[in-house]
Amino acid sequence: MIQKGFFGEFGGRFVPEILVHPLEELEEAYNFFAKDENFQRELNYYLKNYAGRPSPLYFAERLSKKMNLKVYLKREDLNHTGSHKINNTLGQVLLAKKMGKTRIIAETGAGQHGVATATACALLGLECHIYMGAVDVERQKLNVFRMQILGAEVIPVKTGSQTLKDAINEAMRDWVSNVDTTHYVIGSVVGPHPYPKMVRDFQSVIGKEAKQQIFEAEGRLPDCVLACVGGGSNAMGIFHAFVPDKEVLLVGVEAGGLGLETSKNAASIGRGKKGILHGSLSYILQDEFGQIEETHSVAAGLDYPGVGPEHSFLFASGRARYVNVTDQEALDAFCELSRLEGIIPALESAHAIAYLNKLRKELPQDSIVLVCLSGRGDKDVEQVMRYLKEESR
Amino acid sequence: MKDILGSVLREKSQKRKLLLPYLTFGYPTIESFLAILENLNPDFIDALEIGIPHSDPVADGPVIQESSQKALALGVTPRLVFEKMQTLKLSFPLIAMTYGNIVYQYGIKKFGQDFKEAGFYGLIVADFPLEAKPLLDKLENLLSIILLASTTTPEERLKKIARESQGFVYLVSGKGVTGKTRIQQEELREVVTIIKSATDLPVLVGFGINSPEKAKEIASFCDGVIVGSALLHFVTQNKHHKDLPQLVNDFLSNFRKALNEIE
Repeated sequence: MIQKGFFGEFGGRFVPEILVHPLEELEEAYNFFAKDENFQRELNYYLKNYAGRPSPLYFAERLSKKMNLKVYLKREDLNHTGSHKINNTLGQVLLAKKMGKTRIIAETGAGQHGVATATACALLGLECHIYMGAVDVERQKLNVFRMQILGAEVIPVKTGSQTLKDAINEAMRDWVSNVDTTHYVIGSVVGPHPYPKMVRDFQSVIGKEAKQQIFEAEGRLPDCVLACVGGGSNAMGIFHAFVPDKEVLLVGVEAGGLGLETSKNAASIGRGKKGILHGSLSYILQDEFGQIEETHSVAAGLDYPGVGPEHSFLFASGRARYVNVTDQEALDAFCELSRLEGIIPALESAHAIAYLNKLRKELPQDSIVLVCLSGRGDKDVEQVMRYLKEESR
Repeated sequence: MKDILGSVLREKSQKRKLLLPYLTFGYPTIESFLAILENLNPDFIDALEIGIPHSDPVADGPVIQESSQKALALGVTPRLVFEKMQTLKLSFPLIAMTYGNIVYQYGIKKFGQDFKEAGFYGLIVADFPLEAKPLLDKLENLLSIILLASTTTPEERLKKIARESQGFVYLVSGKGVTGKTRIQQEELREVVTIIKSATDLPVLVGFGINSPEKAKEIASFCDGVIVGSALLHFVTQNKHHKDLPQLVNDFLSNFRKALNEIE
């Protein structure tokens, strides 16, 4: 009975009773539309003509030379709205519309998921409310304006640590109050069943395309697939197609913040232990009594004390490896990719790029490494400038 | 399985409508919380729900959230709850209310052993629906597991919950979080009837019961009410008052009077 919605021992549906029925309805609707040709045709139409899919697979020549590896970047940064988030929000908002919902809510940390949700709502004509921690509202002003311009209402959350986890709490509270009219668009592979599976499915287009593209370019599978992990939606999206190919090394890079020896990081697998947060059992950062810890990362999108349950499963079963890099290493990679390739990555994605410096010491020369470049760095420019100024002092 | 809480409450409910107040452990301070408890008049209440604070209480509205945060800031831990409650002798049954991760990290069996020793008879886990109940199997013969039902729950599932619940059935009054619920009375009435058809345990309604009048209205078609946010709000307003315990008793006596007027 307890098996439904689990990945091994992880996942589940740990929610107030009031949400069980809406989650059942969502699951039923999702299962129906996942197989419905018209729905898939419509979604694919928007993914292609509106979001700009397929995203290119780009061979990063100068970066490859420096790393002694063959580095391919899956360019999710080139999607409409600038990250992989649009793949999921188009899917979920379209689904919500088919379910007859008129009101959309979502949470956002860095603002990328909020912008992608507001965009899909504008496109499909649904009312949109975005919960965002007051601290994040302050540090991601540009994205707040973008959401407002797109017609969404941004609601600053002033409870708890005033960041992403508190925005999720508030969105869940909104949802229990308005379940009849409202769909909650969760932005990552977290939350109660069916969200981790549904979001992964919507994001799995990344890996499906990449697999085909790498075959076209190299005629074989990559040796390694690399992606950053906060909640882990871009990583699950690119990993999923490769999970059955056991010879492909899957690596998820968590936010090491100021280092794992400090409490200022967001490495849920690296430093956390099993627990229940936001509706599922997974690795989470918590104290010995089960209170959720405050986290830190230079990348707001990775600043979350939990991780998707399927990642916990891939970790526990040994199928994927989870590592972390510090804020400093991510900032260095941010600058390096900008200068070597003319691509300014999101600070989140820069975590994946940074790990190449460690992978190169382990993998044979010219190994093929596929990196998910989950988003572009425009949103981070101001913050990076501040860091660089402090550094040069 | 012995469901002592169920037997106690069933018997009490044959005599009067039940009143279960909720208090967050350690609010407004640990000392004044304990003083309130020691002075609670058992004539007014039938059991007491004690919240063990969690950092991320998703089912709770602003009043209980704030009381939880204040309590955590004062250093309240589940272990402290156990230690302090063990020293009190109270004449009414205690029910612990918390979130799954608190019990999970404490160790499920150990939680049951310790809290039983400290005078607790039951446990409510706000984010554990029916399907998660098997995770609490180790509490058998230690604590009664109280399940929540809601007005969104379909009929067959309501009956399942009614059969699986122990102590009583906790019916959430409508859509929303604690203290901020839109109560839908007609729906609620029907749901009570369905639950009653599947169990002889008392059915208590909670969330949004914010006045003696509301309590009377709702309890006229169920076995009693749970009063949380309204009580905590009252405690907050009077937290500096010298005789807070007496004021709490006055507050509860008004609810008791209203409930006794039914029939």
